[in-house]
Amino acid sequence: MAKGYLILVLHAHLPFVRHPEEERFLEENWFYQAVTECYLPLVELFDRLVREGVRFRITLSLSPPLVTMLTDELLTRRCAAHLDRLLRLAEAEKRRTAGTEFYQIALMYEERLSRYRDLFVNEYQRNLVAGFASLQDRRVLEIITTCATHGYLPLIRGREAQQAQISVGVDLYRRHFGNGPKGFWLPECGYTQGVDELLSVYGIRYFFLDTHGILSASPPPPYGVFAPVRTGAGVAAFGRDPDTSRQVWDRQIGYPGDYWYREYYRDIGYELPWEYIEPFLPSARVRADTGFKYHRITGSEVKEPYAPDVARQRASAHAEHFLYQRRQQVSYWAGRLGIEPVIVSPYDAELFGHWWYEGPQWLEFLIRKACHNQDTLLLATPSDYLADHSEQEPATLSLSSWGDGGYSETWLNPSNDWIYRHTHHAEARMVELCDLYPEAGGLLGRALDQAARELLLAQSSDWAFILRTGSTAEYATRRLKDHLLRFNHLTDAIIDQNIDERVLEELSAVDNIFPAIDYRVYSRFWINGAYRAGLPLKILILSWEYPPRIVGGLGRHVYDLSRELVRQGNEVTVVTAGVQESLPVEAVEGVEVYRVPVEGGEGEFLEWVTRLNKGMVREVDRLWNQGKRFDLIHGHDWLIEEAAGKIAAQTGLPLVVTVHATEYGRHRGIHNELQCCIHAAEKRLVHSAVRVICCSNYMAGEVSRLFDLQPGKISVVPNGVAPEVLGINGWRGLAPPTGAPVMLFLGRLVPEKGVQDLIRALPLVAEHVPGARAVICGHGPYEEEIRQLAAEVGVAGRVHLPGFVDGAARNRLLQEADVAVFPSHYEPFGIVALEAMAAQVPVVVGDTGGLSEVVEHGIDGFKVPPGHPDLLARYIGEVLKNRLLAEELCRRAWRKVRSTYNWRHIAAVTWGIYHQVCEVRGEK
Amino acid sequence: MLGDLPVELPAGYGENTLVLLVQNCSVLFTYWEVSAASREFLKGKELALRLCSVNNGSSSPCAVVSPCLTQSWYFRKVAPGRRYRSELGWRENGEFYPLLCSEAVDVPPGKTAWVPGQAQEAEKEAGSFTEAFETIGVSSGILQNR
Repeated sequence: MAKGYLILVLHAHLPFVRHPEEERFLEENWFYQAVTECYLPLVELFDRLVREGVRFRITLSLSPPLVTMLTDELLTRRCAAHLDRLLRLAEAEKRRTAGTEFYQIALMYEERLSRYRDLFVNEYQRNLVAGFASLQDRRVLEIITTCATHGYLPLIRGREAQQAQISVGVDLYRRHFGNGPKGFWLPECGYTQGVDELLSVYGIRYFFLDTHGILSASPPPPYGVFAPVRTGAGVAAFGRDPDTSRQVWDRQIGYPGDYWYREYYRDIGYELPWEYIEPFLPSARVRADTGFKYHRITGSEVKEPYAPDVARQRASAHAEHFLYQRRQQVSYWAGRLGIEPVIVSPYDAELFGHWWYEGPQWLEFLIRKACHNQDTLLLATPSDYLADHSEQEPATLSLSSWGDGGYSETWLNPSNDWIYRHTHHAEARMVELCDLYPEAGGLLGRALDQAARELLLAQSSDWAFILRTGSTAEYATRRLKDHLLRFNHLTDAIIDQNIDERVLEELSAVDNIFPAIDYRVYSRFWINGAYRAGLPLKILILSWEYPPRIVGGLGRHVYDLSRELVRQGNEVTVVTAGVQESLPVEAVEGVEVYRVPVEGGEGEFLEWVTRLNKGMVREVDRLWNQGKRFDLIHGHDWLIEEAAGKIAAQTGLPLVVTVHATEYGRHRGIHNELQCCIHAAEKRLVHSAVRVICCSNYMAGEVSRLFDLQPGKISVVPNGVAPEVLGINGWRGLAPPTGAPVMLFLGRLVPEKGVQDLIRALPLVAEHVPGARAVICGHGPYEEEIRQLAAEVGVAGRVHLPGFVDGAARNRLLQEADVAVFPSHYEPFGIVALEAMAAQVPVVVGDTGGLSEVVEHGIDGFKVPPGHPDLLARYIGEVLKNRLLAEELCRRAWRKVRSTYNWRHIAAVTWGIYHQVCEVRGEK
Repeated sequence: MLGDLPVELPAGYGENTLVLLVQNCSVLFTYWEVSAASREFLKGKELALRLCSVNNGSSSPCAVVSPCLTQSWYFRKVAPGRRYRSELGWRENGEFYPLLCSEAVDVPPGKTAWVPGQAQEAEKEAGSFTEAFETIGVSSGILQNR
């Protein structure tokens, strides 16, 4: 019985290098070398072991660019030609070395090369991916994937752009290997917050981190790297074992540095006369490696001839040593920790055979010895481990990588930091184009697809890495610039509606990776791995407010969400409280609305709520008995808590809950019995839900803290805004200037809305903008204080308090306003600011809560720390004086309103959450 | 045709941008671009770049520099495990006014040693590693690349 597990992971990746324009292109040689020296030896040894009946398990990550190159007609043809060229070189080398101590080595190369040529051309028909796939089918390999072009995720900015890297990688995997991948190799083990969520969407069960990525997790994992941890999104993270890395990678003590092993840096490509070697080189212009190396490391300047037999014995001894160490480790930690420890040893596949010539031999010895000579540890894959161990310690992870220093320094330093302003701009532009062209086909669609390819290619971590190391930096710089310039060219042409088909065709032929890409992988509507694909759902919404009952923003929210869900093909049933003048049953824009009559007034509010809930349960019961069925329940706020809980329990349906505000937050604490009851109802509600939706990260934090909810259970979906409700149908621009600029405030008159700051700011604004006046709309207990304060600071004549205004009056005021000011001290979301942005009024807001998340300072508005009238005055003044800047802010705000805060988008994201909870339920 | 495309990337894209990125647990990198309207607005003002530590929604400045003739900056010696944002703005009468604020980023907590119980035993394990290593032996050579 094994005491623990050894997980060997080989990560195979090369950047996409394909140059049809030249017959012999130097950098294509990276690929030919890797095939000849690594991938063929690996596939050969795995095959041999299988034929001999050795049962073992290895995890192999094949990057999408590599899979693409391994199946590319041009490159594999050239690769066969490369093998032929090397065979001719072997022939020449036999003649050249005849009678010398190197002759036997030349023979060895000839024998190997002819075997590999036969394997590649005849046995595998130039398709090594099929070879690897068949090893997976025979349960030897577990093949996983990685990002589309090996993009380093911590330096990719937007969620959509990160998602595109993951989604395209997974899609390519499915095309080659059938099912979706179980695991994911994070390029350079680069993890950053939120990546686990993206991976979970694609059904990924595990990924790998460097040692410190696990050890610095919170809370500290009790078993260190000897057991995986479970992230908030439920994905397992395995940590690299530091000892095994050291033994194989370390420059000083690593096995590959053994004196008997072959010396990498003595290649005849650099040593023999140019006329002799040139015909065999990958490029006719410069010297390069040929793979013919005749010396061993030796340990001194004078290198001795390579002795393959001794080297082989060393490989065997090193495998023995490695295995001995792992067994010691497993036994020790099994005893110490009381678990079945797992040792994760990930390596770059290209180390084996290319850098470390004897690497494949070592691996073969290791596998044989592990499978035959011991039973302390089991050679396994992460899936095997997870099948045996379903429970993992929960942990929150932070940024880490396996690069130098353990973070992002390799890919972000003065040699390569210039890259990111361009890639980040391109990422944002790509997302925006998806908003502009949601259903593009024909020439436009092809141009967008190609733009997506160029962006992905520019994001390869390889370019930044090469710039850092300095060798072949010129090529990496050229590739980066080319892809970005091609991206810019295409997207400019798309925006100008002036696409040059010949250029597009040329680009599609050269950068032909991901032929099946759908550019909408960058869309905000790319949800759960597809563009709004998937089954429509039947949703039961419970909300006490629904038009015509509008108390706060909740009724409007449910109205907008439900009608948009219907527009997107779902069936929505709303059960709400009856209102005298409205129909008990009604179809509102396709939404079925059932209004439950509640007897008695709302005087005794809690009793009224209890009657409402009973009525809701009865109503759903009635519908159910009539044969109506739902896929899930979506409840809004605590007032429907009892009904939501009962219906979910009776029907077994998953319950999703949106918390719009909390009683604690509204009152800055719980101060009386009523609040206590409400607080308790809120707690019960969020705990009975399978998923909780909050409108901002701020609210998510509050809900998680107040109700002790795991952050992974909460999704943030912002509120939306519908410009047409505000009378806006397109860009109309700023209000024309008048002699008396208007500062507009809308909201309840309570201290936490910060109107007092606006009043205090007014005299300061007036110093610079003489005619400035404030219009303060809304009512509330603070109104009298506001009037008094205005009089005190001498601006009573400049302040107009019209009280509560209806929708039409609000729209008129927004149209006339020169700046909208919301200096809140507390704000869970701040829909008014969003409405002002939709009305194309520049905004100055309090830097607090959800408002902070809506407005980006200097991009689409200004934010001021709460309680600073002087700063508030400063920014209001700047906005009023600099109308060019104000217009720029408004344009960006308008863009944001139509994209991020558009109901179409919000409903689609909500639908994505519904699907996830339904799928989880299906799995159970 | 392809050969007709420009060969150099544009210096900027004409939009207000300020981005803060984490290099490692003690260094942050920030880059920016200022639009034509903002350049006009900043004319005659003293440009300044500030790093703020963000804690529970409130932020406190921890470094201010005058980034002349550059569009990016490395902030060194930041505290591991803390949250920061950068601000680009102008100085006036000793006060700093931000024109642009980056999103806040979390600096990773830094590497922590894992000590499962007594350190002594862990050392013993390390000893056994060296021991076995010496028994079987790896003659030392230096791998220059990986």
